[in-house]
Amino acid sequence: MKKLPSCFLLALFYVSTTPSFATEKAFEGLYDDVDFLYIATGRKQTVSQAPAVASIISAKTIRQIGAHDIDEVLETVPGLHVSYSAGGYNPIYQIRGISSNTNPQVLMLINGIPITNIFAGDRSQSWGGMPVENISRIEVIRGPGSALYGADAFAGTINIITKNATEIDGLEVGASAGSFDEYRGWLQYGGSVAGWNTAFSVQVLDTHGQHEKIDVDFQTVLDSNPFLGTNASLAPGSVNLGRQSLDTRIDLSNDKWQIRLGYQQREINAGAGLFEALDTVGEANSQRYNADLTYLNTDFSENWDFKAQYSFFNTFTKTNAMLLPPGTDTGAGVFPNGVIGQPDVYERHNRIDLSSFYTGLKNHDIRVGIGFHHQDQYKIEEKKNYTPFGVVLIPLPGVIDVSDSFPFNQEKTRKIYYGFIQDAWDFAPDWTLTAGLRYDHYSDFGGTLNPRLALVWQTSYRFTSKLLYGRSFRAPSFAEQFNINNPVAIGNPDLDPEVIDTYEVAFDYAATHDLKVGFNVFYYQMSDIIRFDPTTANNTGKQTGHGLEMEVNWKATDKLTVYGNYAYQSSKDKGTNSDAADSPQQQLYVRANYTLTPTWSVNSQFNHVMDRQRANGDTRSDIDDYSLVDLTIRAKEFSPGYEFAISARNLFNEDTREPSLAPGAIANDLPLAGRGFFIELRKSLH
Amino acid sequence: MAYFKKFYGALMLVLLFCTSTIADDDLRANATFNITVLYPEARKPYSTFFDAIINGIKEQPQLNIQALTFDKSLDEEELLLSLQKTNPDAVILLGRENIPLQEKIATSFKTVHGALFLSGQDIKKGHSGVSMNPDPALLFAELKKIQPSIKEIHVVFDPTANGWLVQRAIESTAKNGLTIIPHKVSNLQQAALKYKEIVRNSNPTEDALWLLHHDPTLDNKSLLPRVLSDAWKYKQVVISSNPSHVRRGALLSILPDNQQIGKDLALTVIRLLNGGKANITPMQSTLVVANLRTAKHLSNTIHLTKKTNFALTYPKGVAND
Repeated sequence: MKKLPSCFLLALFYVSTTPSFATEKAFEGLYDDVDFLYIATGRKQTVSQAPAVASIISAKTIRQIGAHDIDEVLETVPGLHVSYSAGGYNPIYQIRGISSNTNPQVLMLINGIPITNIFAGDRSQSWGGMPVENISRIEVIRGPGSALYGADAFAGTINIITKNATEIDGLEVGASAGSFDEYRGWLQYGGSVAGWNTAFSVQVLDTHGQHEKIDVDFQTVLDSNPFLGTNASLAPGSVNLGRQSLDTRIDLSNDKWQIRLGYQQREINAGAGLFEALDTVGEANSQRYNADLTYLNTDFSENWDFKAQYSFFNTFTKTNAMLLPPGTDTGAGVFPNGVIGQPDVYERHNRIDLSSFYTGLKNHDIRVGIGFHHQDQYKIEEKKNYTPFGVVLIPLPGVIDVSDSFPFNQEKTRKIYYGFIQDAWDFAPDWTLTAGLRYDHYSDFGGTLNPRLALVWQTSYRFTSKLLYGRSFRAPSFAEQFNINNPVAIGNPDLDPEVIDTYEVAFDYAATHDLKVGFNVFYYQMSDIIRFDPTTANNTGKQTGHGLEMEVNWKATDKLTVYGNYAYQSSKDKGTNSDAADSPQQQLYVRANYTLTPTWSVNSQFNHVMDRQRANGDTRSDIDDYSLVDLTIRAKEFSPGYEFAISARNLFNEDTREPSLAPGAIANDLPLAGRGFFIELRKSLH
Repeated sequence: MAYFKKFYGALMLVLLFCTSTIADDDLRANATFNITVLYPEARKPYSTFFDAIINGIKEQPQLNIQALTFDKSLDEEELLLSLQKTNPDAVILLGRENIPLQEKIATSFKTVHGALFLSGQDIKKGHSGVSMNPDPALLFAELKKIQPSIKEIHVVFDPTANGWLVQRAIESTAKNGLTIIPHKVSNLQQAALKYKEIVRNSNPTEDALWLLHHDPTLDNKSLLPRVLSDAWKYKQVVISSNPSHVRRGALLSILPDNQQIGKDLALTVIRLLNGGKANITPMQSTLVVANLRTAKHLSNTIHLTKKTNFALTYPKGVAND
């Protein structure tokens, strides 16, 4: 993708200058809740999901905090910390102390449909971020979700709901620019076209990315070996976080039907390198296509509603990585152009999901569903200039296509059939027991049964107590099952899924209408954790964890709102009997939003990340705590239809780092961005 | 014979009169009226509210609609001049923006009000329109569906603001076995005492409390939380004309159906132009909002069978904003 000239982004504003004027005062007292507006124009809703420890972040909050990427939003959720892996700085959503480099233990859904890539079980090997302009809300469930969502709703589930036609103000255009040569632009439309509610969104990003320094890397370690005699490391040098992205979505709906189409494209640089050695030339690109067709009839027949959904997801990732820099030698010869690896993965997913909600039985709400999911890793290609022999890389005469000779993985498919039932039973006044059970049959490893139990007691007018239990599973990825020709990470087709049992006690207390408090404690046990141990994937790991999370939501005055949360966790790797490592044991987050005038508002947030320990055998001292402060000043309708914001991220230029892999090839961890300033301008055209 | 002639003549006159009246009515029924709709300009999602009302008005084929937005920057003289030039048969005024201008328009044109709360004073002034208050008959019908044993409905109100609505409620419930027990109060203090008295003496299976929207004797900050927490304590059924009360613990309310408000405004205009009397009506809607937490608390008496038919239910997930 070509770099977007900033002048183009600014030109977006001059497409049209039809004046408009907001008189929201007209609504004071008419609509106390903006929900009412959406309902009045939208479809009737079906009743809730299973009770869980959940957070919802709305578009309003996302806008207020000045977030550009979903990771900035997720960081505000209690018990969730966003860390990064060296390769491409792909995010690691650490939930309640569950962390791993590829992070397949968190399920991400867009409009309820998983975007998991079957190759590594993550969102993408070249994720490249997700812009937030088209997000209506994000629902984050901490804890188990397999009884409803199936695989990978393990440590938590992140469901991103995109904006529909009523949530976009006619035609909206906007752009932002700021530090690290970052430019963003977006154009969105919401309206009615030929009787269909139509929402359209296109978002683009071009950034050089932050360029904090890595002082020593994996090549530095190799260089220090006197037998190799190399001096190849690019460290000290900066991380490479250049990115371009394009996100397009269309959402068409009428009374019972909904059609959604999406196309995303990413081009990302190597971050701190796939092999933890700085890579100045490597890049990965990915393209993703998705489509879904949904039929929802809330009056299907007396006491039944019915939903049918077909969805399609196709994604491929092409990587061109310089794994080690020019001049490197691992003991079997020098690589004058560096060690080059070019693995490409292509996959597609087809899903059918049928579900129904039955309300005909007194005091019972029953949800049943069945579905089918076909996963197809339909093409594996690879070029490289080395062949591995143990831990030593032997140079090949050039970059050779090994797709048909000794590729890194295999073309494979997997079929999944599933069925679920859930009953919410109001067995006494103020008491509800929700019991759910889902069975998934996998064509490779067989069946898995995942229950969910939730007992909810409406203790008083202001107080609700919940006791929750759930079992979840994480299906092995194709990398874990079918990796070949890789002496340090060999796949194992006989793997079982990872399993987690979670117990939670949660309380909600509404002290007043303007002050709400949430508190929960949890305990979990993970087993059959899949690790390449020592070189072949096996179900070897065990982990337990416990902790608590609390949040406070306070509307102090009509002008000032304050939100804060605190999370504590302690997780143990049972194999080594040491801390599960890398995740913060404590995290404190506070945000305040102050509306100075109808036009001007200020938002500031403070995030304190604490107590991150090293893995067993990693002799480095613990990772330093850090505190981040962000500030956003916003002017709405300073001129008809216009909105402007200026924001400072990491205002005090704190040195912030996320842990590198043990034992610490990148000894001083992965640096995050220093202080950055961004401006944003948007215009809505009716 | 003479009598017959007289009778025949009279009959002919009556028939002639009737025919002419019918023809006239017929003529009027088919007449197209030119209507100007004035509404405040707003951003989404608020703009969708007026869009839906205007769409509802436009569904009436007898009306030829011209929709104009007005805002603070509007030149009033220019607007009045342009109105005089187009000379509409009536003007529909949406919202309570720029009251002096609305009054000026009302002196020269027949006007109908919508998208606002109308009070007893508005009726005194001879205004016509559709109030944002849901029709109490609809509210009671929904209550009856899920709680058939309710017999009495208490309402505490300020008679100058909501007397007309309570009167309408009394008239509407006479037939269906419900009795409205009105409690007139003039200030918050009186209201607080009255609410306390009602809840203490209430029978959870037979009595319900109806809260009003925009009543000066119900304060959302201090009194409402007490009314709702007492209701929880005594398992009192609370319904409300204000949907936001449901989020705070009332059992059910009715959400505005903006398209329907538009249709009703169109009918009100036609009636007015056909010589009907000025009239204020509450809004009609089938969009019910319910609090399932409260329903579960009352579960001995409440049967929520078709929950999916609610337009909106509370409580929702914990939104951290």
